[in-house]
Parts: sequence; C-alpha cells; structure tokens
Amino acid sequence: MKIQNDARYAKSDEWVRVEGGVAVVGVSDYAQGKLGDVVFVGDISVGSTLKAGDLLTSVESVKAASDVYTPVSGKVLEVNHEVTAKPELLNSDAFGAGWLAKIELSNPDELNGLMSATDYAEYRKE
Amino acid sequence: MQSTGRNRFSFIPATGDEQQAMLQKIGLQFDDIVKCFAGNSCVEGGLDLPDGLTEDQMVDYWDTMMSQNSGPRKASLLGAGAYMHFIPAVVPHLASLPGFVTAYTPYQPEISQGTLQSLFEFQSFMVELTDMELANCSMYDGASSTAEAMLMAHRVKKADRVLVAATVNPDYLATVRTYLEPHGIAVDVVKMNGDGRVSMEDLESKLSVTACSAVLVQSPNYLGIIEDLGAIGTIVHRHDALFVESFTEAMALGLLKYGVGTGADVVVGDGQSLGLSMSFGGPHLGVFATLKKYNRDFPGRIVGESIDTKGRQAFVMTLRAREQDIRREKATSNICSNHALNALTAAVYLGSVGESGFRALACENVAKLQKLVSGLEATGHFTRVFKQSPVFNEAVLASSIPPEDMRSRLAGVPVFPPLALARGIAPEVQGMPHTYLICATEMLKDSILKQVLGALS
Amino acid sequence: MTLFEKSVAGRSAFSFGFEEDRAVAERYIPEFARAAVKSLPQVAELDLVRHFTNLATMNYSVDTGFYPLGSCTMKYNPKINERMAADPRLTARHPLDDAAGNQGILQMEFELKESLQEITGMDDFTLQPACGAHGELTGMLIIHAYMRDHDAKRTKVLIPDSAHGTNPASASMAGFQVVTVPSNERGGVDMDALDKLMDDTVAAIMLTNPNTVGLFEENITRIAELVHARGGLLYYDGANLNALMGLIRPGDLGFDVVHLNLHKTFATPHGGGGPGAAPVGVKKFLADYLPIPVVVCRGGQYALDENRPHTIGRMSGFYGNTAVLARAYVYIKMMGRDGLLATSRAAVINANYVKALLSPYFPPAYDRPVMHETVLSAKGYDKYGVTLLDIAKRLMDYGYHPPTIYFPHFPPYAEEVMMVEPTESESKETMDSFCDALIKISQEAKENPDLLLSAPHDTVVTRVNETYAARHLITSHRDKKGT
Repeated sequence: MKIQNDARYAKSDEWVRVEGGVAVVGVSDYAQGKLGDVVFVGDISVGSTLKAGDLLTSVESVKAASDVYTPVSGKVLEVNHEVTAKPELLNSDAFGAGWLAKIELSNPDELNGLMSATDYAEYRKE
Repeated sequence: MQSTGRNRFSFIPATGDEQQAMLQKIGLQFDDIVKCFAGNSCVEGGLDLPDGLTEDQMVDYWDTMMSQNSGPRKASLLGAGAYMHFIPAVVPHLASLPGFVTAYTPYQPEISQGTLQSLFEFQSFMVELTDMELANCSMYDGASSTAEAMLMAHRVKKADRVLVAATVNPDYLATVRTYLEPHGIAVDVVKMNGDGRVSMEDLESKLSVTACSAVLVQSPNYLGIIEDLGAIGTIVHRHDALFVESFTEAMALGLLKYGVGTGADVVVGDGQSLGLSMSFGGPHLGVFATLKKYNRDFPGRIVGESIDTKGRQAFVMTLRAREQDIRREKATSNICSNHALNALTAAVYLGSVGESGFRALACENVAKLQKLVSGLEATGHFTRVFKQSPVFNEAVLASSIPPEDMRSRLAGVPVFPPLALARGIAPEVQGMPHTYLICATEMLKDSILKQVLGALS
Repeated sequence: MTLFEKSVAGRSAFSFGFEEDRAVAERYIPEFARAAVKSLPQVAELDLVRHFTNLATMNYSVDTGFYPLGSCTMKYNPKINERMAADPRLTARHPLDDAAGNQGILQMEFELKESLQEITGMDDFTLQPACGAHGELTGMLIIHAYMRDHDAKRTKVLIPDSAHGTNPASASMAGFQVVTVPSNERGGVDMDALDKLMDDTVAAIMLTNPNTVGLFEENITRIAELVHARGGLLYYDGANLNALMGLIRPGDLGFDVVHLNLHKTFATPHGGGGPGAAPVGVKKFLADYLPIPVVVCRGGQYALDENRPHTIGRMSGFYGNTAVLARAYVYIKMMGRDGLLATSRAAVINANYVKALLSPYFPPAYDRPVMHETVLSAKGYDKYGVTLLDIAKRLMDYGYHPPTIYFPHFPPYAEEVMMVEPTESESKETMDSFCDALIKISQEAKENPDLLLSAPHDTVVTRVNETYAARHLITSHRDKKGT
C-alpha cells in the first residue's frame, strides 16, 4: 500500500493535496487495491459546488462499485478526463495520473479534520 | 421420522440405508438436525395434500384437465399483446436442448459459453432490429420492460412526472403505474386524436407545463395504429425528456422504424412473437434496448465479448456493477434471473427466418390484416374506425354484431374471436355500436379467412 | 464464432409459402417502413442446428453433472414436466380468450395456488410474478400499499446483512428505505440490534429462512413477536424453502407475505437464467392488495378476478408464466404429501453430509447443523498463494460446477467462502466423489498451486478476462464491426 506524505486523507479513502490554493482530490492506493481493476470512473461536472462529504463520482471494478465523496468543500475547477477515458490509471497511479478533480477550497479549515499520512497508514494497517 | 428401506420417489436417489450411512457420518439423527426449529412444531400430521401420482397417472390426470379447454385454433383474431405466429420446428427443438434448459445464470463463464454466446447473439439481433446501440439479454415481458424503462428515465432525469400516450396498451399502462406509484412519480396521460394516434398538441402542451422524465409511446399502439415516432421524438427532445418507444408485437420490428432514427432513448417491448408460443400469457420475453450513454443506468444483465488467457474469443457477463448482487439497494433494478431461455429462442427464430424472411413475415401480416378488413367490410356488418391511419396487423372495427353473437357465430371456426373493446376507447359509429380490436397474422390462411367471413356474413 | 460471423449471403432457413411483398409496405405504410437490415445472419437450417447444438454442449448443466450452486437449488428437472408444459392445449391458448375456453388451465392454476397455500400456510396467492426478484417486488409493493393505507410513516424495511442482494434492491424499488440488521455470533439475526432498530417507522423485515448461511433462524418466534408487537410485518424470501417442505410452514411462523421460487424448490428448469416463476402468498388481511387478476373458483367455474379495489395493480402484461407454473404443478402432483417431505429431508441430510466430509479441509464458520446448504471457508489457502476463485476454477477440471463463491458477504464471511447446496437430487456417490475432488484440490493447493492458478485447463475456454470485457465493451455484433 502506497501512501503519499503530503496528502490528507478521509475515512472513506479519498486523498486531498493542496497545490497553490487548489485542492486536488483522488482515491487512495489502498482503495484502488481493494477495488481491483478499475473499469469505470464516472463523470464529474465542472463548475458544480460541493460540500465536504457530497458525492463526487463513483468508480467501478468488475466486482464492486464504490462511491467517492469529496473530502473538502468548494467549486469543481477541473476534472481529469484522462482517467475517465483510461480508468486503469487509477490502479497504476492513484496519487498521480489517477487524480479525479481539482476543487477551489472554500473552507481550508476542513483540511485539519482529515487524517495525516501517518494516521491514515495506521487506520488502514492490514 | 422413520426412513424406509426402499426409495419410493424417483427424483430422490438416496435409499433409506444410504441416508442412515450419511447420518452416521454426520453424527446426528435427522431429529437432532431439526432441533433448531426450537419449539416451533413440525407440521402436525403432515401437509394436507394428496398422495403423489405416478407418471402414467399424471398423464391421465393432466389429459382430463386440459381437455376442458376449448379445441385447437389454427389462427387468432385476438392479439392485444399476445400473438399467434408460426413457429418453425427447429426453434423449439434447439431451445429444448438440455444444455440450455438445465443450466443456470452463467456465473462461471468457462463452462457457460453456450448460454453466454447465445445471449450475445440475441443482444446483437435486438440492436439491429430496434436500431439502438445496446440491448440487455432480456427482461420478463413487454409490460415490465416498459415499466423499467420509465424507472430508468426517472433515475436519469429525476423529474417526478412522466407522460404516457393514451394509446398505450392498458395493461402496460397499469404495470407502469404499479412500478412508479411508490416513488411518487406522477403518470399523466397524453390524449388521443381523432385518428387514433397520440395528440401532438396535447403532448406539446403537457411537456410545457413542468419537467418530465420520460414520454412513453407505443407503436403499433393498442388500436393497431402506427404512431409517427419520428415526429414525436422531435417534440420530446425539445423538452429534454427521455423518449421511450414501446411495442407489443415484435413482428413489427421487421418493417417499422424504431430507435435512433426516430429519436428513441429506449426501445422496449415484448418478444413473444419471435418463436415463442402464447402459453396463456407467459413466459414471454422482455426486450430492452437503449443508448450507450445510459450504460450505467439500464436494468438487467448484459453479455460482453472478451478473450480468455490464450487470447481466444470468449463471452462473459459485463457491466455487472449496476446489479443487485453488487450494489444492493442502489442497484439499477432488482432483476437477476430474466428470460434467458426465451432470449435464446428468439435468437434461434431470427436465425431461422433471417432478415428477408422476417421482413416477408411482417409484410404478410400487413397484407393479411388488409385482406381480413376488406373482407369484413364487404359483409356490411363491419367498418374500420380510424380509416385513414396506417396499421400493422391489428385494427379497430365497428360492428353491428354484439360480442355474444360474435362468439357463437365463430364457434365452428378454429380461430380465437377478436377482442371486444370497452365503450369509449374508439368513437361510436352510427348503427354499429360494438367495437373490436381485430388481429390477423400469417396464420390466417385463405381457407380459414373464408370460414371466418362465412360465419360473420 | 457467432452466428453473425457464420453468415453466407444468399443462404436461408426460411420456409414459408410467401416471399417479401414490397408493394404491401409501399401501399399501406409508406412513410414508416424502414430500410432492410442487411446485417442479420443468413444461414441454412443445418448451419443453425449445428451452431446451437454445439453451443449447448459448451454449457455445464444439471443434466450433465453435479451443480451445487448454493442458494440456487439446482435440482433435477423431471422430464414429464417438460412434456406436460409443451401440451398444445396449453401452449396455443391465448391469454385474453374467454375463461370458458380455458377451464383446464385455470383449474391447474387454481389447484397450484391451493397446494402452495397448504405448503406455506398462507391464505391467498398470486401466480403472476415472473421470478424471485419480481416476487419480492410484488410482496414489498403489497406491504407498501398496505402501510400507505394504515400507517404511512412506516417507510423503512429491515434486512439482515446476510440477505441476497435482491432483497435490498427490491425493497428500494418498492419505495422503501433499507436498514441493515447485523447478524449475531451464531449466524442469526442480532436480537439486540433488531430491538433497537424496530421502531414505528419500520414497515417490515425481510427474512430468508433458512438464511443464506443455510441456518434456520432460531429466534424466529421472538422476531415475529417483536416485529408484530411494534406494528411491522414479516416478509419471507422463499429462496430456501427446499429445506422445509412438510416440516414447518412460514405462515405458521408468523410471516405475512412470502414468495416462492418455483425454479428452485419446485423443480422447474433454470433455463440459463430464467424464465422462472415466483408466486406470492399473503395472509388474509393482505389478500385485497394482490395484483390483478387473481385465479378464483366460483360455483365450480374457474375465472380470473380483476375486481380487487385495493390491488397494487399489475406486475406484468398477463397472468404470469403459465408454462412454468404448469411444470411446478406437475412436480407437486407427482411428489405428493410424502414426496415433498422426503425431498426436504433428503436435501437437509445431503447438505449436512457434504459439510461433514469437507469440514476438515474447508471449515464451516458455525458449529451447527445446517439445513439444505452449507457455507465453508477456504481462507487458509491464501498461504499457498491460491484463492477460492482458483479452487473453484480447478473444480471444473474435475467435472463439477463450482459452488456459489464469495457469498454471503458479511462477517465472518467477508472473504473466501463457498456455499454448497447439493439438493435431494444427488446420490451419495456423487457427493462422495465431489468431496474427494475438493479434498484433492486442497492437496494440490499445497503441492502444486500453479495447477489451480492456471485452471481451468479442460474447458472450451480458459479463464475469461472480465476486465477486458468491461474496458472494451463489445455487447453486440454491431460493436465488433465498429472495432
């Protein structure tokens, strides 16, 4: 299980990394491992405003479907069309090429409510 | 509970001795096992059912019972959702092969390629005939498929209102209402025009009031009339609803336009006419075809082509994450078992008649109805209602002959009498107070037609 | 190769006394006729026969071998059922013809209904639902309509975590909110949790009994009392009734609504995934809510009654899968009172026997006698690098259909469990050799795991790539042409 140190994590296995005031959101390497080969990543609409915990999208493997929730509130600025076209990116590079959306942080304090990499590693210890 | 030494039931191989040996291995008596009933007493004195019959006794019993049905019919003037067509011998022969009949859902693709490939072929036939992009591997029947299409439209569009043409088969409409009722989705009926088709003005005005998830139109409609699906589709899409095209008579797929060309989002209907007997209403075959953009929204199973570890063509169920066993209460439907064997039957039937044969059959149905209608009109006791509207193999006729009379006149002719329509469905015709929905298929040979006309003259 | 790929232009299996009459379309439906579909296969009759006959041999089926698919009750389908159901006096009957012309069929349906009432202890039945999930939806719609009339705030349905996925899907489709009830350490419903959850917003609890672990719900009487005392109803999923016939009746246990899977307990064939049939039985106070029409007998005449003012409406176009109902009817007639009891007895003995033989290698999670099926664990085999899936695939090389795998999903069965249901149809020697095969495979797992990892070897195709199928989505011949 890979864990990225500069990201914060939600209990439902999403990660968020702040890059120049913008939150990049994805699902953790642990979650993609549990799902198995990802075959579908649902569309996310650019411009929609979400509250932390709202449904962001859903991802599917051949044996499971999983809802992905945004760990932070804000407006969706950009989505990763590459991962919707090639869902396997979520398996090969969950923290990099497999990112899902960029969100304009409306409440940066929410980050404090998320887990650190160390806490998340402990939380998902096998 | 005593076991007997001799097995009296031919479907249970274990002898009493063998069961004793098994219980010994288990280390319990049968009564110990059912101790888990925990005070809930066993059925006292056993079930109140008769003793079992032997196979020869069963045949006699069945024969006596079935002889109470009226005699064989060679054709049917009765349609309205179930149609009598010719079934080539090869169809039931192949559909009865035990490899198909006694297998189950192809969960293990390596030993289920027969079912999987035949379902893939069924899907391919449906995609071609409905002119859609994607077809599932069957639903129960036309009415429940139509209801599921409306639920899908609601999932996609989320507006708590749908429109249904007044010309839809009333049993389909009732099924739609049953499925939608608990979700609080309003079902509004779009009026029928004087020509027996859905009113474009009423459709336009009802769509303009508030948002709708779907518009349901059937063609040929309940009155046998072909609706102008293309024109309706244009209106529906102007108002951002899903257009659901439904059919009760799959034979019409041989000749009429459906699908993307007419703006359909979903094409649903009943495939009973594709090589399946009527069997007093079931099992029929539900057809469900849609567009690829709804491939996460549609109900039911679907088979995809794939490869095995050696790169060979192989088939497997796919898009499974919509289904109840994975997504439970969030599934797109609760359907799991569908009508797979009937889908296979339809594939065999279509393989047998082929495209040109299927088209020839469709034309023959149109021709037979025209012949029947003109013959009936010539008797002076009948006149076609909605005369200017195009029909497929059913039409509404007004008649001076009341239903009881119709029955007795046709008693000596080997046909099912036509459906007497309730008052108010079709406009009244002077001097002809009774209206019938009359059907003709390729089964109505000239000799039978002559008998029908003779009896009704 | 599909039938489409075998097409040769100009071939035909069409044999009717007419040809396409182009003038007909032009004359009667000019603007609505579509262009001919040129892409349908053109084959001769023998091409067609060989194609499908060969496909049929590529299927594993009950008629070819042991099919212990848990929860599916893959029992033998007696051939007499097929012969009776193919009677043209049934198959050629139009469903809208007068009742007077269909007295034989209606009598059959009425007698079937009466038999099912007796077997389950219910007061009335609809024969309309097409299969298990359709039956569940019908039953839940009945409960929904009843609660709408009597106690509209009850909008939730309780479902144990061990339930089949259809239960929550059906409840949700009937407009209910689903609440999951956890299981206790003995594999039954957790009574404390039920006590907390069962409030005045709950319409019903859906139970499968025996449950999906093959265990009889020990607390069923307490559950029924608790749920009824707090104003809820009990729904019985009859998927596992094969364990109970003549032994105990859901109606006597307090269930208000039941559905039965005729393609499971009552020996109608599974057809590669249907058609089945799933009659729904209710207690008297719910009989007015049954879907129309209902088969009735009045003054010796059988009829279809459409006059039920409280009906939920219609579940399908006509009156149900009559040809399937006919098969189940024949089965019940031939088994009779003693035969049905003997069936359940044999099904229970067989399941416990398989459990006894396999327990040392694949331990059951609960040390309790089971009913008609047993859930066994393959968890220990991961240390050899093999999964349950590998074991299942290897079973195919030994000539068996694998049991149901990776179900149920709930703890302690989160992973690596198989559900074996031998049914009463199987002989001792069949079960012995099946268990021998699994025991051999358990040895192979230790000694030669590659044999399992590359299994199956002796099937028409090797492991099929599900991920490839999902990522490349080819679901019709038209998609292939496009690629």
